[in-house]
Amino acid sequence: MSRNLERFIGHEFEIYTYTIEQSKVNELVAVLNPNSTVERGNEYVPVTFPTVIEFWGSPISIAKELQLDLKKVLHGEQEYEYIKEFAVGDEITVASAIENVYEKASMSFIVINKKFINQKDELVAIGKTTIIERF
Amino acid sequence: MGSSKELEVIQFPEITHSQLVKYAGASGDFNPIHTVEPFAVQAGLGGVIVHGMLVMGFIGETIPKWFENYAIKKFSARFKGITKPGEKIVISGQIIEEQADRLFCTAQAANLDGDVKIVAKFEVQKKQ
Repeated sequence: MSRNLERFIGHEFEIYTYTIEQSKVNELVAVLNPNSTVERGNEYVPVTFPTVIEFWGSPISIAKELQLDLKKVLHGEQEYEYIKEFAVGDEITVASAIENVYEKASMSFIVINKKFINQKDELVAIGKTTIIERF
Repeated sequence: MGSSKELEVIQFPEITHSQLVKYAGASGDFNPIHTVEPFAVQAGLGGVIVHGMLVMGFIGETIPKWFENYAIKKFSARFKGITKPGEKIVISGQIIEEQADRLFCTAQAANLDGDVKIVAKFEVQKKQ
């Protein structure tokens, strides 16, 4: 039962800009370090913070745009390459596109490439997300 | 793994339902399979499942503890198994290769029974 999601290869999502605020950084640090009194300086931004930028920054839901069934969606793989470090106050513009779609073992694999660019037009990070939808 | 060097094993506290609600709010990932029990049961998951990115985040928080004076340059994770609230996650890691100021490493997230949730690779570079 194929979903023919291949038609989305090359699809570019709407570009958006997200400003990294200290309170959102604190919220993520707190949930990743429960019961911990670990001292993190104010300049500390977790390496998995791009997820916050993606979900809170994006004006659209990728799952909705691709008409994915949330009951059947899993996160398969996640890759990040960091060219610079993220900092509080950065205004990060994100360009995302579907790099590949393939089917294997009754599942669709959707590979999304994301480029994170700061207010000085410098590339900060590149992300690659593989979403799996079970048939 | 031959000459690889084991890193200190770090255990995270038991994952709670409340933590999943907090992670949903922090990250913006509001897929109800992570927070709404009836929805997750209906999805055939037998109950809510932990956001993969929360567990990847545990590894992400462990790397700076292992390598204080290094910057993370690459970090990738493959999600191998579903995590449920009530599980305790243990992070282990290895230095596989050293090249000039860069270290190539692997890491795993598993529960106390040894069920692997994530296999990860990362590279760190010594800060100037």
